[in-house]
Amino acid sequence: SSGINAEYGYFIQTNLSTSMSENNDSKVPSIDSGPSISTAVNYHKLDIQNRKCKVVKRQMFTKMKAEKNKAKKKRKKADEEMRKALGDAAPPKPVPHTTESLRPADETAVDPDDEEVLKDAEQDEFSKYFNRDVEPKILITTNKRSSLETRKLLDELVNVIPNSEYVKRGKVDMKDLVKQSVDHSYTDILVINEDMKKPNSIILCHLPEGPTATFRLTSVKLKKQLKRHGNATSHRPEVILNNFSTRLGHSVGRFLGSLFHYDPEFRGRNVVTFHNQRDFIFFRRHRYVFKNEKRVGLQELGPRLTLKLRRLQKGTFDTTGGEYEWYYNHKQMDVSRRSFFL
Amino acid sequence: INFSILKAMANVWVATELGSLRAVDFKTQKNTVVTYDELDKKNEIVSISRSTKGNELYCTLAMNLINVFDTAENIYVNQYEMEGPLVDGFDIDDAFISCSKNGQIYVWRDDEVCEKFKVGENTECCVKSLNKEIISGGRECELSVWDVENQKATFTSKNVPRDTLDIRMPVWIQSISTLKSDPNIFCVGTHYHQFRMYDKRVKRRPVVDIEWGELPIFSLTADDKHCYLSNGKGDVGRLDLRTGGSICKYRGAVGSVRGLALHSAEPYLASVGLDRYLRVHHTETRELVHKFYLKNRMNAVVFTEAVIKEEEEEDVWKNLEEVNVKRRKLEAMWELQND
Repeated sequence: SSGINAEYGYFIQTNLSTSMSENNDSKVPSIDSGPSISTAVNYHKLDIQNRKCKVVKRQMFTKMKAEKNKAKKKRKKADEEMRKALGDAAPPKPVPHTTESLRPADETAVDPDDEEVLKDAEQDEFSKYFNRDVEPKILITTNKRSSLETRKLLDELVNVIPNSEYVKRGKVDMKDLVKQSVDHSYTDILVINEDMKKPNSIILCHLPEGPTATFRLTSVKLKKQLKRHGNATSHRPEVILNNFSTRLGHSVGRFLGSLFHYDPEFRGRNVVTFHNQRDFIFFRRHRYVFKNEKRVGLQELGPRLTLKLRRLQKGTFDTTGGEYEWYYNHKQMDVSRRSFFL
Repeated sequence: INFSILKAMANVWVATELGSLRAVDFKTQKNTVVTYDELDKKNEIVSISRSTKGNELYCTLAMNLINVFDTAENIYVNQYEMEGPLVDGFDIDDAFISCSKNGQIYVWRDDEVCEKFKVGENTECCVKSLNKEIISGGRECELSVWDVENQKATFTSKNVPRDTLDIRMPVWIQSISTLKSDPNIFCVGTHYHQFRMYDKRVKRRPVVDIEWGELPIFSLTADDKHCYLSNGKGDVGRLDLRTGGSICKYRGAVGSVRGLALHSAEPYLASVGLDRYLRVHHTETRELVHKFYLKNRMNAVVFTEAVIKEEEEEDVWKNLEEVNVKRRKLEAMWELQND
């Protein structure tokens, strides 16, 4: 059975010892001369997988890898020479694929000049903040009987968000909490919930009738766990919202932005960033310094969080009788690895 | 049949939270926006209903207006004004009936209010019955059927019996629907995620009472044998009316679905809600036939008479023979090896 295999296009050489000459199988190795590999040029992945002898398998694999690297170097060299020769006339360099670049164009992507989006934004629940009518006043609590880690995060969050207060949760239910906060003229409630004594999720409820967003909270790093961290001042920070491109993302971005006062104190050089990538919202806090026109120095302050939106409910917290604007249903949403919602 | 009107007709009319009416055409995949006033939240259209005469739509605004819109001419033709946040407006014979959340019902003849009567304190929904009566229900308002001329209730439902702990079951009706042909049966969806079916001839308590989902049932439509429900999470489902059992769900909606509509002739269901999408499902195969992004949160949908599916093209494709591609390739490989 020697000859060119039509499927894979390589040349098989039979090598048998005389004692096994009856069996015309090229895969049987000879006893005397140790493991032998056929001198094939291109190994197919399946051949390597199907090979039972591990020593031979490893050898085949290293050979395949070496061949591949050689071919790649050749291609690169050829490409370089081509670019040198052509100069400016050379075809543009191909851009490598990333998950973000392979994301399908979202039809709900917000066009900043769109009249309907602007009108909607003018009259949504955050319009009072963006019209500078109401200053944000935030109530921060935890779940009932919180543990030490949550309270540590709490202390840091109270420092991050200007005009925020910590109130002990006690025995108050969520709906009563909402009612009482409205009476005391708070504009937002931030509740940190925990699981197994570690902070697990954040519920942001905008008052008096605003939406309620539930986020999953992961990768919490407090100030002391960061290397070369800085100590924050009490200046009001500027807010950066990155990559909130879809309609849902637009609403969430507005929500997160409306937690901070609309007049930042630039003298403090504080920035709070909410960076959205692949539906994960990364929260960072930095102090910046412009060294010259092109270079900036950054020092990280305060906590690091990662948030992921779980539900966005219209109206204040009401899980039994409320209407959801967006609900994370993983059967429907985890269908494609390339599409994201924020 | 006037083909020119049919061609120009959109398939679906949608009411949005900012007060615009959108007409969606499935063939050209386009939608046109019609506004009564500027795009403003105070002009929010709460519900739409089709009139029995001609191509008119009654658009109920949240504040105190009901606009009459002519779909053929694409202009607003008439207007009815009534106090208080409004619930619905529709026509019965030559009278026009408008209902507000206080329970006030105005009967209009020739654009003038002839009669007024009260239907309950917190009416959340008001629907026209097949017998030319008004069905209403709301928060702590039992389902009642009112005769327009006598201004009296011909049928009032009774609350279900107390539960095992002897606690009274609260009443909060969020959606009502009548069947297509039977005038005695009403379907009701409550805030406490119960689906109930009342038969006027049998008894005052519900004939079918089941729990469906975990959130309030915001919208209901019914056919003769099935009814379609949607709740605050985006679950749109189909129930069998004889047994009360749920048959299937129409997947796709992510936010609360506030409006459902059934096509009068063909098996299509349109759903519309807070996630800013209009979805059209085939009721039997559960297939998502059309999906449109309409930028605004939406409150109500209505189908027009326009035909959705064209028969001819489908038949051509069905008659073509299916060729199994994988088998062909394998056969070719075999031949090569054995040569």
